[in-house]
Amino acid sequence: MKLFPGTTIAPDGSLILLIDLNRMVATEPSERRPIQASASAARIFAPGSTAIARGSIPSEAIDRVEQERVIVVADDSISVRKFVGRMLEKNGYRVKLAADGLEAAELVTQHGCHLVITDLEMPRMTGYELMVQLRQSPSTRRIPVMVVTSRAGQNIAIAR
Amino acid sequence: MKEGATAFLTKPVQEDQLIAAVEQLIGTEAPRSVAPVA
Repeated sequence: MKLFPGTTIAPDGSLILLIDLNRMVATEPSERRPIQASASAARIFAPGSTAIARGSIPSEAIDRVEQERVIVVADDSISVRKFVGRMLEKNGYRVKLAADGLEAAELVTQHGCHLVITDLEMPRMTGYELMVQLRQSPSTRRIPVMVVTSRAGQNIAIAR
Repeated sequence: MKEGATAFLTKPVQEDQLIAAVEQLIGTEAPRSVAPVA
């Protein structure tokens, strides 16, 4: 079996470094070739790598990377959108800010999101027009939209 | 609203109401929208 300098991962999860010392100290450039029998190899064991490879670590003990929930906030008032954005970020959401409906539509189309929070009265594209555009596209049709406005009659209402 | 609003919130926005509404809408297992349209 020929071995080449480099790195590989063993079945037990450890990282194996194959080092050709002769090549490292050589003064002349050498082409890629199998390492000599006298070359050194090092194996580095990461903590827990063997247990992970065996699958013996309970899933509860492994930190999970939660999927980030992305919310697009559209409001022509910079103070409102920053205020709302800060509240959302403080509660663990990832926020993308848009100054109007058009910018929000571009963000949603380009990056996708879980929720759109929008004002109604905005330049270039209103909240109404934004909702119409989102509902027309199969890729954005199902994204929930929360309207934040001073025009609503109720303080809060969730459509069922 | 026929345009398709899912929820409404009145300004000035209160944090507890905003977060409660957001959690109700997207919870913890909300599927992200699909890839960008070509």
